[in-house]
Amino acid sequence: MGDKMKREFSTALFLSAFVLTLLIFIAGFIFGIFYTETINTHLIDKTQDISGSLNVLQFALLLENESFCDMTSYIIPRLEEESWKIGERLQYLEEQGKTDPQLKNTYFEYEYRDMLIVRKAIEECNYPTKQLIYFYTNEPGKCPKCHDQGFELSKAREKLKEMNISLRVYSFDGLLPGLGEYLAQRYNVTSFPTLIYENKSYGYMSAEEVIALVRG
Amino acid sequence: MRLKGKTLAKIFLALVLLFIAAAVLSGYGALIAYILTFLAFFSISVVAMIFVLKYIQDPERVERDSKEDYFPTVSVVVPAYNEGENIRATIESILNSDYPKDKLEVIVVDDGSKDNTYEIASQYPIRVLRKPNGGAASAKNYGILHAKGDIIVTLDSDTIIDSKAIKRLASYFKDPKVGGVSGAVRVKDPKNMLEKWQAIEYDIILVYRRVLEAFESVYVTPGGLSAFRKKALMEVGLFDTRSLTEDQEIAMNLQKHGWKIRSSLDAFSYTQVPPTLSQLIKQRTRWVRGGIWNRVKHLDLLNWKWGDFMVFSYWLDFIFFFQILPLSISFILFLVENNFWFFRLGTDAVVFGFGPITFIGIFFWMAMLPWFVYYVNLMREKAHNVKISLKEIVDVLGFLFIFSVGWVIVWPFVFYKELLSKEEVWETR
Repeated sequence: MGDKMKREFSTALFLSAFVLTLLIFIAGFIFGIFYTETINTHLIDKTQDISGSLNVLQFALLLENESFCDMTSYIIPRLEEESWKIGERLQYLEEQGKTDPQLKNTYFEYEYRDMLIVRKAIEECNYPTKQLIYFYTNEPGKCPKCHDQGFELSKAREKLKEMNISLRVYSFDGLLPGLGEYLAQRYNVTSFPTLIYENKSYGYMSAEEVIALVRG
Repeated sequence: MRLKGKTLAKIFLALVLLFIAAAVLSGYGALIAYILTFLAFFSISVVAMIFVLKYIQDPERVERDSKEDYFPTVSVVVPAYNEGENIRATIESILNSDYPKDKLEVIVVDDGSKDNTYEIASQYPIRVLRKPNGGAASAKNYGILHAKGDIIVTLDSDTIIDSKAIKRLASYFKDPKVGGVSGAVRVKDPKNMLEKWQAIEYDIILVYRRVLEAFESVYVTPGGLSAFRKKALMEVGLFDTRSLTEDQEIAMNLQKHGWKIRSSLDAFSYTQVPPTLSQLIKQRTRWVRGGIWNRVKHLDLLNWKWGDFMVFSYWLDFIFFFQILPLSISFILFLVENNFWFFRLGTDAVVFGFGPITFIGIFFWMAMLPWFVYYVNLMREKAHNVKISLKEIVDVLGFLFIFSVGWVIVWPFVFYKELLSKEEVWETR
């Protein structure tokens, strides 16, 4: 009995393993950040693409072109689908903390222009759609219900679609410096989530509540 | 010492569930999942890197062959329970050994079998002992107490031993400080993909164990094939019958009493492995439970005087469990937070979900892949004198990215099963 062999500490080896692993991790991390930036750039490019289509409508509106109402009937539905797809991917990236302010502001600018033009289409062409503005924030602890609100709005939009009611949801990060923050102040948003429908403010709403509100 | 394992498991699982619920409700679930994943993966990676560096430090020591120059008296003890189907092949493989027959004794201990294990074993010119059922450890102890050899070789009753294995194991005992030697247990005739992945795992573990020997930190002498100095076994009190993994417990006990444990890369035995996922889970659950129990029993090994054994080896199974656990928790959190997106975004959810952690994982595993291929190739060359094939390299890839990662998904179910399982007494695989 008793310790028959000499015990050692391989301190240098353990430290070397730690450092080498850390270097590999840093390399992977840097590559990951580069990849995330590439995805953000990809979404910015896609947003700018559909923004180009929106310019056509905007010019028609500015020039008081008689073909504006005809153009809305085929341009707006296409833009709606593409914009919704970009918006969903953006929301997914946001929840993972992978978006950058440039992407969000590019998208918000597009959304805002889209909102104004569609509003004109509703007023002047009786374009059959409803509009709802959704203010959220991803700052930790400031809006635990925002995660669910996004899902509820998606559910509501789809259920309304089945009832042949079109609902356009415009989402803005109310605490992001730039357009999001400006619009939140303009609409007197003091908490999150806030929904604005027909100039009235509402807090968190389930899909069923949103549907009831839109259907009147 | 007897642990109330089931109560502890219930408390532990309740804490884990509470943690997950709190994380999700707080809104910080994604962030917590991210941090847990990073920490767990980093620690797993450091461990893998330690093995690589130690290997590089002294490759000759890791790769050297066993000698065949020492011939003490050997008793081969085979505990058997309801192994009528397998015992014949096991006995015949031992009798085919090239060890000097006048120094070799074979003892089969029938641990209260309900089939014809005893009758089959009795047909051979060996000693067959019979006792009431008491478990693998008790059967081994019974055989050891009746053994005449200075060296005890233990072998599972569903395992085939190579003809040179006993000679190679015995040679390590030329060093009077050696108390135990672990054999090179490999998988017998892997048929399906799960068995092939386990075969790769076993080969990698053999090399790992040899590296651990360089740290003087071998912490398991597998039941599939190991050898012990009888004097050392008697000194430490034989196998602990309370442990679910007595092959690990005896190694830790021997280490604690100052005996050296060596690991052979070429004293081969071939064992059966669980062919289905449910059987594999059952086996691994027993291993984890046994591992935790053994470490709690030998808590006094947490002392700086044990050097590398305390700092590194003692924690290995333990820390592996606690590394996988955060990954499982973060996986659950990830599913809870993102299940909606998988339905809506499809493949984009995966492509857009890639980020720094994903690429860290890919980078690190790609760095480890050549090493794992090297380890498997080394064992192929030692056992069969053939190099690893391209198809087998693909299997190693599958082992890395599916089998190893798969445990992250499986463990939550293991936790659930752990709550419902009863104490196990006998397991052969």
